[in-house]
Amino acid sequence: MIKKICYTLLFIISALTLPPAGWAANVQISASVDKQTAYLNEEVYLSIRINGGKGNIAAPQIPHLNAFDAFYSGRASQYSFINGQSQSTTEFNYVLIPKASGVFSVGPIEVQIEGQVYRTQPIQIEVLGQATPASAQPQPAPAYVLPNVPSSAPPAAVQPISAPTPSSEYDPNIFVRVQASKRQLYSNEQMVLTYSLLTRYDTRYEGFSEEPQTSGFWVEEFPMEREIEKRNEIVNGKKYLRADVKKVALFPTAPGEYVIKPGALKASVQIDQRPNSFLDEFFSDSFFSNAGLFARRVDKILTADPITITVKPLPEKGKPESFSGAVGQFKISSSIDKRAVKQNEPVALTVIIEGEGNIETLTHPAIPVLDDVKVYDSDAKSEFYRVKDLIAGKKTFEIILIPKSAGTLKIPALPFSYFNPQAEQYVTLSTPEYVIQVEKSAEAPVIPVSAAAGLPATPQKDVELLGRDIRYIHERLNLPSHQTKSPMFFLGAMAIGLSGIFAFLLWRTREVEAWDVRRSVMRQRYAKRTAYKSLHQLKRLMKKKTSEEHHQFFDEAERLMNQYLADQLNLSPHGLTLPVIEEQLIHRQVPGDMIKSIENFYETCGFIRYAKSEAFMASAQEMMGQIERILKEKI
Amino acid sequence: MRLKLAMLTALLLACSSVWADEAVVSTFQSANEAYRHAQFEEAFKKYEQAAQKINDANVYYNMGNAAFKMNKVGLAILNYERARQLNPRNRDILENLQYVQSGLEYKVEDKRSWFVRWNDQLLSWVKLREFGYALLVVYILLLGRGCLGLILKKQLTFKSFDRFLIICLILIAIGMGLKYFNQQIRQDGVVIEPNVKVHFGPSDDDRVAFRLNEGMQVDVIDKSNDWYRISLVNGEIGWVHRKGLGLV
Repeated sequence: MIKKICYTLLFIISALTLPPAGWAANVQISASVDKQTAYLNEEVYLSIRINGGKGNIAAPQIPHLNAFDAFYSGRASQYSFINGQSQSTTEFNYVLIPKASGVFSVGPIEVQIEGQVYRTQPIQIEVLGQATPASAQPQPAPAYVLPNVPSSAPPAAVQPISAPTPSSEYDPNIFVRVQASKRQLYSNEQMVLTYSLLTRYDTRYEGFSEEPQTSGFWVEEFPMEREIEKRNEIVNGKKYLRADVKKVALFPTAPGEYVIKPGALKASVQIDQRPNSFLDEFFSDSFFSNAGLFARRVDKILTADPITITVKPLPEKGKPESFSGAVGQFKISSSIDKRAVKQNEPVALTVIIEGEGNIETLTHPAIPVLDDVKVYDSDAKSEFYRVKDLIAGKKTFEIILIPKSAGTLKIPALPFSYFNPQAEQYVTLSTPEYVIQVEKSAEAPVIPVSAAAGLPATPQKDVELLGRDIRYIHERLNLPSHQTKSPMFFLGAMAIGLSGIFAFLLWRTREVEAWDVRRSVMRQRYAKRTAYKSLHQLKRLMKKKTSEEHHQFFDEAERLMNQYLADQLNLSPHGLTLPVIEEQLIHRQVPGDMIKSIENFYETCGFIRYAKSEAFMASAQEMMGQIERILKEKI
Repeated sequence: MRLKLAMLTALLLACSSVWADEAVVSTFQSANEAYRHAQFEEAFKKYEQAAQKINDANVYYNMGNAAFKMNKVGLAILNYERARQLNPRNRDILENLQYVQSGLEYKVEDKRSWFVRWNDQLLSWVKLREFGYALLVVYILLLGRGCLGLILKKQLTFKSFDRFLIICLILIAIGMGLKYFNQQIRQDGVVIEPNVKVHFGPSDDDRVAFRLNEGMQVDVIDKSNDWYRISLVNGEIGWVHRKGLGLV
C-alpha cells in the first residue's frame, strides 16, 4: 500500500518536473526589422523571435556592427497552453541606428538555448544618405519636435538645451534637461521653463528634491496634464524616453541679468536591465516591467546647469498713459448689467481682460473721477489655462457704480494698454462708452454688500511712510508757573487738612466713648448709696396711715428698685420692664434666686397696688426686708 | 521794620528766579534758532548751557536731536534717556530714542529674569513724583472714608471699596519704594565714545574684557576714581574709564 502511494507520488513529481515531450524539439528562431530601408540616424527596430525553447534564454548578443549603433530595448514573452501543448514565444528587441550609408547585412545572430546554438538568417538593410538632422520616428507617440518652443516665439529664440551636468553621480543613461523658451525678454514678458527627464531606464519621477531658485521672477505654475506624456528621443545617437515633468511660466519683474538655478529632481530608476535568473527574468518581462516587484531601484538626484536670462526694460518711446505694466497679448471686453437705474441704485460694470501674459498682476483700467457717482471695486477673479506652450488666462473685474444724482450717467471709454513683445510696440485697447439713464428716487443710498467688502475705488490708501527720521525738536520749555501751585501742594495740603479732621473726629469719638464708660462706672458705684437714701424715705412713708400714702409707698419702692437696677445695669430707668431686667441679669450671670426675688418684688408691688389697706402693713414690712436683701447682694 | 525787610527779600528772590527763567528761555530759543539753521553744534552747546540752569525734558530732548544730527549717537541716546527720566511717557522722546537705538550696530541680549525686565519697564513708565501723587490721592480717599465713618457712626457698607483702597495704597507704596530704591542704587550710563574698552579692573593696565560701541547702554554699579564699574544686561561686568561713558 505504502509502496503504491510512493510510486504515485514519484510519478506526479516526475510528471511535473520533466518537460513535456513536445518542448525540447521545434525551436524556431527568426529575426526581423521594421524596415529594410532607413536613413542615417533613423531608428531601425530589430526583433529576434524565439518560438519554443525553454528555461533561461539569455538575450542574444548582437555581433559588432560597424555601420550601426545597437541598443537592447527589452524583451517580451508569451506562454500559451493549447490542447495540452505548451507554446512559448520570446521576443528580444533592439534598436539599430545607422551611422553610415550603404547596404549592410545584420547577422547571423547567435542564440544559445539549452547549450545548443541557433542562428538567425542575415538581414539586409539599406541605409540612405542624410535625410533629417535629428531624425524623428513616431514610436508610438507622435513625432518628436526637438525643443519646446512656443509657437508665438520666432525660431531664433530656440535655445540650445542645457546639457546634463557631469557630476560624481553622472549617469549618461538618465539626465534632466531644463529649457527656457527665451533667454532674452522684456520685463514682465512670459517665459516658460520646461523640465524634461530623459532616461534609458525604467524610471519613476518622484518630484523635486530642491526647488528652483527664481528670484526676480513672478512664478505661475503651468497646469500640467494628469498623465505625463512620454516620447522617444535620440540624444547623441542614443535613444531616450523623454517626459516633460514640469513647466513653469516666469515673468521677470525688473530689467537686468538673472540666473535661474533649476533645482534638483528626484527619480527612482530600475538599474538592472539584464536579469540573470529565471525568476528575475520572468518578473522583469514587459508585462511586469512597471511593477518592479523584485527590481532593484536606485534614487537619482538630477540637476541641470543654471540658466542666465537677460531682461530688457520696456521701451519708453510710445508708452501710453494708460499703460500699467501688462506685457503679452490681450483683449478686453466689457458689459453692463443695466441701462436705466434709479438714483442710488448700483450699476455693475464688468471688464474682462483675456490673453497671454501675467494675468495675476493685471489691474483694471483706471476709472476717471465721475461727478456724483460712487465707485466701488467689488470683485476680481482670475482663471488660467494653456494655450499651446504658453500660460494664458482671464481676469474679470466687477466695478460697482452708484449714481447719486438723477440724469444721464456717462461711463467713458476706459483705455487699457499693454506691450506686445513680438511686435515690440504698445497696444491700447478700450471699452465702449456706456450711457445710463438715472431716474430720480427718494431712497437712501445703499452700499452693495459685495462692494462694501471691497475697498472703494476712489483713492483711500494707507498713508505711506516714505522714510524715517527723528521727530522734530520741542520749541517750548515746561517752565513751572509761578502763579499756579503744583498738584503736590494741593494734595499735600488736602492730606494734612483731612488728617487733622480725622484725628479730631477720632479723638472726639474716643472721648465720648470714654465718658460713657466713666458714667456707667459712676452710676454703678453710686447705685447702692442712692438706693439706701431712698430706702430711708421709704421707711418714713411706711409710718403713714392713709391708704393713699400706702400706695405712695409702693410706688416709691418700685421707683427705688427701678433706679437701682438701671444704675447697676447702665440702663435708663424709664420704660424699664421686667423682661429687660431679667435678660440683663442673666447676661451678667446673676444667681437664679436673686433674679427670683427681684421678680417677686415686682409681683408684690403690682399686687398690693390693687389690694385692701389691711394687708398693707405686713406686706410693707416684708417688702422692706426684700429690698434690703436685694441691695445687699452683688449684681 | 523786620517784616518789611522779609517782604523785600521775598520779592527779590521771586524776581531773580523770573530773571533766571528769562535768561534760560532766551538761551533755549537761540539754540532752537541755531538748530533750525542746521548749526547743530552751536545748538547743542546752547542747549547744554540751558540744561545747566534748568532741568527740563525738552532741553534734553532737543539736545538729543542736535547730537543725532551731529552724528553722535551716544550723546543722542544719553540725552533722550535724561529727557525720558523727566517725561517718561512723551511719545516724541520714546520714538526718537527707539529710532536712534534701532540704528545701533550691536545689541546686547537681555538675559535678566522676566521679573527684573518687567519691573524695569514698568518703573521707567512712571516718575517717583507721580507715585507720590497717586499715594496721596489714595491716602486722601482713605482719610475721607474714615472721617465719614466717624461722623455717621455707622458701619458703612463699603467693604470692597475699603479693601480696594488699601490694596492700592500697598501696591503704590511698594512701587514707590522700588522706584526710590532704583533711583538710589542704580545709575544708567550710555557709551558716548565710538569705541570703548572695558577692562577687568579700574586701570588701563588691566586686561580688556570686551569692547562697547557708541550708544550702548549700561548699568553703572560702582565708581572708583576715574573709573566706572558697569554691568550689561547679559550679565557681563567690567570697568570703563569715565570719559567714555555719560551718566543719565
